[in-house]
Amino acid sequence: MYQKYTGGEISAIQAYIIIVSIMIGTGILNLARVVSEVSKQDAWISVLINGIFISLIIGLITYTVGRFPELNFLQYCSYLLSKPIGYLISFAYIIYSIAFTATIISFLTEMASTWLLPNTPIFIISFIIVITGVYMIQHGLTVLARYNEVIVFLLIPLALLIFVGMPEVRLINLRPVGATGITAILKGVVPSFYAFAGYEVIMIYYPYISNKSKHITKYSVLSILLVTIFYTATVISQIALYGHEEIQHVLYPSINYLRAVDFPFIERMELFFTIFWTLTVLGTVGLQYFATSIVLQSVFKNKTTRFFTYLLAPLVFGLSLYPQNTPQVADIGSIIGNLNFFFGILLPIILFIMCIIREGRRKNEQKI
Amino acid sequence: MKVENYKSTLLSKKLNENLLQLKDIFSDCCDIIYRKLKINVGNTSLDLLMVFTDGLVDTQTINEHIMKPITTYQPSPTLKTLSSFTLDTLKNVITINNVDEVSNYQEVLYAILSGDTVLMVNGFDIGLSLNTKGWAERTVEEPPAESVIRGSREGLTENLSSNVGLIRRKLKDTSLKAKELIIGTRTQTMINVLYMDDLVNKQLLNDLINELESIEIDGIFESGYIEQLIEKHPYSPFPQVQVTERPDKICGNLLEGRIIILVDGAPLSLILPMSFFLLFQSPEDYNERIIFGNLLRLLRFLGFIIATSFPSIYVALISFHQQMLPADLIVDLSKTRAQIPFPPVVEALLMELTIELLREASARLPGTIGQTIGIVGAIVIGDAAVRANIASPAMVIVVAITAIGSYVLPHYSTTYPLRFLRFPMIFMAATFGAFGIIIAWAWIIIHLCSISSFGFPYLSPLAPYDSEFTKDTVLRKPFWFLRQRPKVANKNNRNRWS
Repeated sequence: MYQKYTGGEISAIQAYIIIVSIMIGTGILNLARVVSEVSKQDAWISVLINGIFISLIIGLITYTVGRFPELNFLQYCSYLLSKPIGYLISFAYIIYSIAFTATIISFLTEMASTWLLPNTPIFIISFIIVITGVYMIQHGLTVLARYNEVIVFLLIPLALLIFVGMPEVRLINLRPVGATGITAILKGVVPSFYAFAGYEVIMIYYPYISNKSKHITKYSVLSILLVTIFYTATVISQIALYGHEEIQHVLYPSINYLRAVDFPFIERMELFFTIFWTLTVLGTVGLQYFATSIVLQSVFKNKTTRFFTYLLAPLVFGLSLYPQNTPQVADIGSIIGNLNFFFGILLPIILFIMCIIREGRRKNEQKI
Repeated sequence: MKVENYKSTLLSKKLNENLLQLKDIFSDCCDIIYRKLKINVGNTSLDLLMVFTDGLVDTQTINEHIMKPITTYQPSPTLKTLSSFTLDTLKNVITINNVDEVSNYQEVLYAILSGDTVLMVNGFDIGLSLNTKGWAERTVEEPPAESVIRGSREGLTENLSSNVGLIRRKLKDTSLKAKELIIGTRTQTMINVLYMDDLVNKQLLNDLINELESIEIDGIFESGYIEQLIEKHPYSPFPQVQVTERPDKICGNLLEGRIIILVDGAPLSLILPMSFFLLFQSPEDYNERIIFGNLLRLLRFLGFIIATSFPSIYVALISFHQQMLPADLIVDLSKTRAQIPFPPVVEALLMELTIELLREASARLPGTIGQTIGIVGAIVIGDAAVRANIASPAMVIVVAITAIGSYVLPHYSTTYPLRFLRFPMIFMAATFGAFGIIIAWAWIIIHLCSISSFGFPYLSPLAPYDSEFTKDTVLRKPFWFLRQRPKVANKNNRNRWS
């Protein structure tokens, strides 16, 4: 125990928390709206299907990456897909991850600006968030994982806030169940990608888990299912509260519906939501930001990530200022969600297939 | 000159040479007393020299138990010649409990300067160091900065050996070790490192002792010197070593496998390693029944949050988020604030600064005057400030609650981070409202995650998470659930109940 956790290592529990923490972030704000745009009152089924699908994907990821406990992202990509493609994927991931980090920061900035600081210039809010992110990750993965471990307890009040709308819920809004048809429900999966995006960082963080055991696959899947239940409950309660037509006119249903509910002493409960939510999203920013630094470090073979952390800060800050207004941020979010289709779903499947092929070949060689 | 420079200088067999050497070393030291004696050996007599420091010795002990036996000594018939006289003979004559042999000047000087009496005999190059320590000291009193309602009233004193005694009396176990170190090249301060031999983490202990031995400072006057010399994050506002003056708290921590450092002359001892959650623990939590002990602990956490954030939350609400409060309340608040010429942040900083000044003044002044200052400050200044429209009544209430909240932590010196984190929080709240408070808290959490106390993460067992977290941190489970020692202890001996 003594000095065990001082290096750049994380425990298995921290890895599960990382998965939960990076997924529950900015996506939850408009999840109900964007999904119900396509699959109407059955949006929650879309979300549930996506969650189950992604829990399969994370099983594939942990299986594949678990074959190479000593290799980092670049190394096993190079091993499985040849070196040039490994580098190509790493560079693509770096660009995607920077864009993702900037998008999360834009979301957070927009939120803080709309709900808390309407008169403060956007760039100052964004600047503070970037500084907080840099401060969080400059000490390495250990501190980042610990921060998320502390913050994950805030998900409990956040989860409770979902159910405060219960007395006003009209279940008729959810009926008829499944009437939109299977194609619509499956199409509704696509807009929910952004909300689920982020779990692919486990591909980067896996080599840093100090006590790798067989249970990692099991608990990673359970983490995803936990998030899925959380998201499904959110979507159900919000659609039941608003109805799928009305919800289209609400920008951020997760916050707006708190306004619909009266509390005895506190006038605006949504501000409390924002407080808990901001701390959670800061953790998401840190995780995505640090994933970029780690991949950059492995590409350029530096000793520490700190140099890249500082190097990326102005870039991330500049990019986060690019969207001019809230709908634009949401649009960029959906683009990122579509990009996630490659890194979060396609890449793990390709890696898994290559891994199977390689192993089969090796077994054949051994037989000969 | 430093005492350790005399290590190579050995005692001479001739008494006069030793006397001259000592007089040379202690030139112009009027408190060093040289006393020549004679002891009967057969028909002749032998010269003795007694050296001690006036004020550090118990003169009655010297008179009764050294001088009297020696001067009235009648040698037995077998002891006829000088050659048959040994130091053992002398040791049998003197009725002093603790007698050591000293051979070089470092030992001689250290004995003299720490209150022992050195007895030298003509013809021997070995002297005797006799325990005659006795000086004015405080008796065991109730610890002023750490009092409890239910629990022992004993507090540590400035005397190291009686402090170890207080601990030994509560913990009758052979594995309680007290390792002696001398730190401070000029003060030659005695340090005792206390630990349970079979419970302590050996690697931690060795590292600590190596670190203590490598200290080369000239003077140690308080345990705070040691604390600052061994902590790893000196610029962090959070203490990485726990400070206590309660023997019962020390014993409890020893049984958890922690290490105690006692410093001679300091009534405050150090406990390490510590974690964030130990800031909130007091012996009373264990002495009281389980429900109320836990409620007290929760109150302390509430106090921590109030003391750090309450004024900043008030500032943020008043200057940015008025809509968060119910309409009736905000109308009343704005009515009282209408006459105030300052923005809320100036008002808050002004009042907080006043109360910090008051607190510092009342802590420094003698008891009764301190109370008077407190009453004058709290009532007169607060009331006058409201009447003069300098501060609103709500602000006075906020400041008062904050001040009370910061007192709930069990030990006074751990309240400093709370008191001084408040000001940056107010500043952040005044600039960025609730968002500023969130960011400030994020910074605090990140900082707490990044520091460690002697290799143990500061927020453990919360981050990194451990099942210990559910046992004895924010809440305490009943004793029958606490059968395991914390991870701080030696991992081979974690079972408490056996």
